[in-house]
Amino acid sequence: MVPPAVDRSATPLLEMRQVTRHFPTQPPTEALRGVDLAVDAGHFLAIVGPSGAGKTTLLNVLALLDRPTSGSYRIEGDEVAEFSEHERTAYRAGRFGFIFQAFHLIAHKTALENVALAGVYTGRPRAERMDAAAEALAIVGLTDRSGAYPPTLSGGEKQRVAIARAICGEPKVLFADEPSGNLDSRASGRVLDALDALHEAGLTIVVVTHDPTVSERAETTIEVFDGVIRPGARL
Amino acid sequence: MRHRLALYATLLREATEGLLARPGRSALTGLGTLLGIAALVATLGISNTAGNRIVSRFDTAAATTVIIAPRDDTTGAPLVTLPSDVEARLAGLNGLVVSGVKAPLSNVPATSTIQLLDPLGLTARDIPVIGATPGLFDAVDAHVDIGRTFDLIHDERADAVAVLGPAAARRLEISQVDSLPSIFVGSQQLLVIGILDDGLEISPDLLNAIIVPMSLADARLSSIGGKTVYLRTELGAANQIAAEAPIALHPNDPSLLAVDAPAEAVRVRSEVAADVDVLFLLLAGLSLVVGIVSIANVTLISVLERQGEVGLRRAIGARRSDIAVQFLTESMFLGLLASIVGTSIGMLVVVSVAAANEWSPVMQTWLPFTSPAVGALSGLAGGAYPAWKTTRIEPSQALRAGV
Repeated sequence: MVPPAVDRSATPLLEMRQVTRHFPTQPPTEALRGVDLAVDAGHFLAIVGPSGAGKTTLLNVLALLDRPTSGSYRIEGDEVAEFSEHERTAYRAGRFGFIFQAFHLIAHKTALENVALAGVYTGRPRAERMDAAAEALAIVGLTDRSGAYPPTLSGGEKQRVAIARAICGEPKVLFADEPSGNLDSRASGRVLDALDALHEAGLTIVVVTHDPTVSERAETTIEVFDGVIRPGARL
Repeated sequence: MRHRLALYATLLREATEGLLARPGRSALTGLGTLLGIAALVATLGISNTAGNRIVSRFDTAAATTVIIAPRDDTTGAPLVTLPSDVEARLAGLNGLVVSGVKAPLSNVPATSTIQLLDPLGLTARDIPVIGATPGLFDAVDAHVDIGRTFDLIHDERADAVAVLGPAAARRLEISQVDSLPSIFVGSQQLLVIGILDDGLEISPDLLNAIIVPMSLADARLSSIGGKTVYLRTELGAANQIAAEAPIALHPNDPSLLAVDAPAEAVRVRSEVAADVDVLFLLLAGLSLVVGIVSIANVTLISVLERQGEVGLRRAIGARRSDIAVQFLTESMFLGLLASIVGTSIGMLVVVSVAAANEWSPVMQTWLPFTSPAVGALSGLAGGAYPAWKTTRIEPSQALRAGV
């Protein structure tokens, strides 16, 4: 797909207009109900709210892991609804990085191999991926643990490996879902320090969290409640 | 293109790692295919080995025998009379070991061991009398139990001698020939010079017959019926002899002679072997289906357990087809590995069975190479549904499960 010519400087990196997401359960679940949101390049956005409010659904739609039921979602001015499945996948592979609460590390791969998984599906040569993975592990301070397998890593180390994997492909946006949810305060602090450093380096970060220490570090925080962004909750 | 090749190379590596990461589970998953392929190879190998054994027996008994007789007309009378110098005409055929002629005599009077006045015929036996050339015994692989067979000298002189089939000897109550016991066919006295043993598979009518020199039959006994020529050939020459002998015997119209060549025996053997193959192949196929279902079942469970991994891979850019290729490759490798082990076990079974029976192990050359391919295909079939199912899952759904 050839993106339309737009003035990038005036266009938000991510922009939602009246986005809804309904799940066909009995009764139907309206996880998102007309969300308007804009995220500029280089911003650090925190999405907070109670459990079941629709935070993760919002993140999934923003990160192209899920499709909105209705509404407009544009990335760099391009309408996502017009993306083919292949283009969505290519977008995730080339421009997005992901951090999950459950880490999602593959147990039989070393920390280095887990990080090098990023870029596999863009066809990046293995040697190049391994070099980039070593570099990413150095950024999160885990060079000495590169040969360790996930079951031998602490929770904080696992999440930093996940961060290294997320940044290894040099993404434009980093999406994080409860990155400190499974960590103690000390490990959480180190993970947040890593996120701070990445943000200072110019990376756009969108994070879903319950943890006030995470949202404190964000430039902007929005609260999702019952599928909508609570009016006046932009901090 | 280069990018896709690099990706497929990586997917191959990922699939291999995926298999080796859970060696115990992989081994158990592949067990069904392993047993199926082992059963398939062992079945085909043993049936081939046993079939070869059957073939060799047929070869020694039947595949070297050609039988020629005049065809009959609609009334049952022979269309042609065989010449009197049959053996001389056939002697020049390349590959011929020996030939002999047999002719049952018709209107033969009853046979007795003592010549006396016996109006009621109480001591007489109706036993078929067969005229034979000396070569017949070798041609039909007949051997004497006691005594000897008649030879060319007996035949030239039309000596009044006889060789008895074992059943005929029992009916005539003759069990030894040292004193050359006499029998009487009508009024013709014959000296019994030998009794055949029971091994008369090629011409079983000799079992209960009095066999006399053809010249004697011509000269002093009743009329001779249709002649039958038996030819024993070198191994592999039977079909050639079967084609040439009728021309040598009746050059004007060889088609008037009926030729019984060993093709029939070989065909019967092939059919028997094929029947056995079908039975065992069905059993092996059943094992293989169990193997496929086993792979499908465990792969499905594995895919469900690995939903988190699937979600992660989809999140970082794997297309549905990439995920399918990875899981299909895993299940195909599993089928391939299991079938290589299964093929080896199957071959070992064949060799062991052959060794235990002192047979030569025989196996189709394509079998050891084809069975791993069959195993790989069965793995592919087993992985197809789970792979398809996993590609239907949205990344966000899959990510809800842990790794």
